[in-house]
Amino acid sequence: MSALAARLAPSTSASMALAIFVLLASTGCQTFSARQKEAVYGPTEGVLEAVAVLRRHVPDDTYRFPPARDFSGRNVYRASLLRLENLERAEAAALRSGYMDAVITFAKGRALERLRAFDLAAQHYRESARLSDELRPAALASAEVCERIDRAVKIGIELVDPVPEGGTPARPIDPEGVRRALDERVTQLSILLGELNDAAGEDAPRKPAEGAGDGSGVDRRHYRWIVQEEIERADVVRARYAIEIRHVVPDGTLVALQELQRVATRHGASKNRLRHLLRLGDFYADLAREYLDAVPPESLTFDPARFRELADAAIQLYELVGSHDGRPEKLEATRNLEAFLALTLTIDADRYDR
Amino acid sequence: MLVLLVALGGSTGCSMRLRRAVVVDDLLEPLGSDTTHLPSPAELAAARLARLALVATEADPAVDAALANVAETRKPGDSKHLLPLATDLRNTTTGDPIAYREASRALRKKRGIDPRLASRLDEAIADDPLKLARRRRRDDWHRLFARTFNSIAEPLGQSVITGFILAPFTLTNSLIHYFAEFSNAEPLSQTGRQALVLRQEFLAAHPDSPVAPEVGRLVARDEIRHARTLALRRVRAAEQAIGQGQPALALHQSRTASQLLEPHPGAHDRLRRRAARLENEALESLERRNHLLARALEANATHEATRASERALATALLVAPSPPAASIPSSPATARLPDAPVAVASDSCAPSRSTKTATKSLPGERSPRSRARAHQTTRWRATPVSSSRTTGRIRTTPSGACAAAAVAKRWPSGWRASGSLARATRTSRRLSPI
Repeated sequence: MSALAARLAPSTSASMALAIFVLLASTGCQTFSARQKEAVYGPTEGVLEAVAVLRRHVPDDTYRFPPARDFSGRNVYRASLLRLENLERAEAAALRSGYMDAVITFAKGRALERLRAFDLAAQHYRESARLSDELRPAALASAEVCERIDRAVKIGIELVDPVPEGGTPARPIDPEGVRRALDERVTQLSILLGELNDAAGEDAPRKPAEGAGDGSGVDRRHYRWIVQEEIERADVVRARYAIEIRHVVPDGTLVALQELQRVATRHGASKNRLRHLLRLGDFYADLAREYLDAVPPESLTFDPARFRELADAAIQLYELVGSHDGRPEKLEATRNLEAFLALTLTIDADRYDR
Repeated sequence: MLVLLVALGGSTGCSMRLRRAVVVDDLLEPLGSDTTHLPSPAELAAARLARLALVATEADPAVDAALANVAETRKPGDSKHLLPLATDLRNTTTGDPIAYREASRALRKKRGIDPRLASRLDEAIADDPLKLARRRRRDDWHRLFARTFNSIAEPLGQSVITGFILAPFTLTNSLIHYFAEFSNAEPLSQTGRQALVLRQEFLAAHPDSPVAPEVGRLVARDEIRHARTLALRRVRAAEQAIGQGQPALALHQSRTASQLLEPHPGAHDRLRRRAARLENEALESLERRNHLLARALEANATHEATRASERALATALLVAPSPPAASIPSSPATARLPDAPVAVASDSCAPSRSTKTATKSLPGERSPRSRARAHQTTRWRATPVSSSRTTGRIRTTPSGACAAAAVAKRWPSGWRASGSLARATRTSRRLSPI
């Protein structure tokens, strides 16, 4: 090699050295970029990663704060569930020995309960309890809680898909019955919430898990947030039902208004509190529009004071929601306010002060 | 040479002996079944760690023991990603986002972390609301520095072309604008509001944190500034509304400003007094407007002498046939129905053809042209219909068109009102009250 270099002209040797350097450098760069590529995990590492992401967000208070999102912007519980299912499919051969089955099943249960699939979550927990002794106490306790929640949320009516394929079933016109059923649901959930709060108290001993021979405590604190969310949902269903039937029951509008105010008042700490206020504001705006349709502004029976009461309530609520920084409801409220104010322009100036 | 040949021949012979025939006895061999992956001891330890981590409470020593077991059972053939991922899984069992962030920071410093885990750790480390809040405040200083630099550098740079002749002028102009801009600065900037929201979220999530008192102090300080910022916008919007003749909007804005300042009784007295003054002004303006509106609807009693002629004129107008196609007026100020028996208000208050026809027969009246000239004024004036010998004056035209036009001129049309309202609530130069 040195003899060869000695034979070549100096310029040629320099060019060759440069070419060799560039070749080596590019190879090194490729190696560096290869390191930057996404790492390919084995099945164990894949499960560990998914479980770590999920485990980090198990204690999250999803009643007061929005659920976390992973790097892809998805709900972290849904993303974890999808990853675990994909891992089961893609690494079926590697996981066939079953050494990770209990972990995957338990983790899916944790994800499913946050996605309101309580019956499925309970099934996964039971399966996990069958597969693993270490997970059995927690799995059985979680299964019990999920089954209780599932039984409670099945009481009473539920919000339905507005455009289902088989048609929408008619709503029962039975406000008392519906209210009683939803109250029963809330009562069941409130009892469970009380037990969970007691268990979460520092002075109170943890409830021993069912089937746990050693009486070890199980951490069920995160279920408080789930139960609170379901209580909130029950109240929202009740308010929505009152809105749906307000035209066919006496004083239906007043009842609907009261229900919406009840939701906004009872769940002032919820992550959806601005959404509740916005819904109340939208209802006032709808009432104002209905009043304008029923009693045109130019007619003799138009009552400016009554319209002003409805309009001012809507405007105040929209402005209240619009003044909260950092929330998407703020944008919705400001746009709704503009739209509603444009509506009031059709009214004579002496009947409504713009 | 001989040794070389022997060696070459020997190796060739060896290779011939080891070379297999092309055609083998079994042409088709059955495919081997997938062998079940047997987990290594490290993988089994990792599975145990995962089981414990899923059910562990904070600071469970069993989880640490399981992690140590994973590290001990690792063999050189095992995946190098296993231990860092296992460590990250152990860190998630702390149950405290702040503690997890600290542990992630420590894990991130280790060498050999794969990019996927590294990016996830980086994201977790960066997801610190207090750090983001501090960065937002740093943005404010950055913006101030940039504005200061640009206010000096830009005029100097532009003056290069002119040989710095205009440099003193452009520099002075730029500095004047720079200092004047401070008068438009809000007590709490947009980035300040972002920082406030981040700190509020931190306090709501971690009320028992050791830094919560300090953060609470910052939040209380910024909330006062935030209230002042929103109230100032409302007050400015109220002043603009009064200037545009919208007393109702001004009243609403001034009242909202007062409500915003209510939770902070000891602060912003001057702004509070300003809002109160605007509220009073708006109320007076509203009262005046309502009085004028009421006056516009008043009907003056007609004079005895002209009653008969007025009756005849009104009857003739009312029984006159309707035009074949009447356009629908879009607004009182811009409607124009030239053939209608009752002329709707127009800007010029020019008498319609039917009005001319109806009024032509009345004795002793002025010509339509002179009457139209009288109606051209923007302010309403009483126009004599009968001859100068009569003392009575009719304050309204047969249709009341000019009165309506005068009222319409004072109050903007619907579109102008909506435009001004849109400007009041959403402008690029003038900040929204919200």
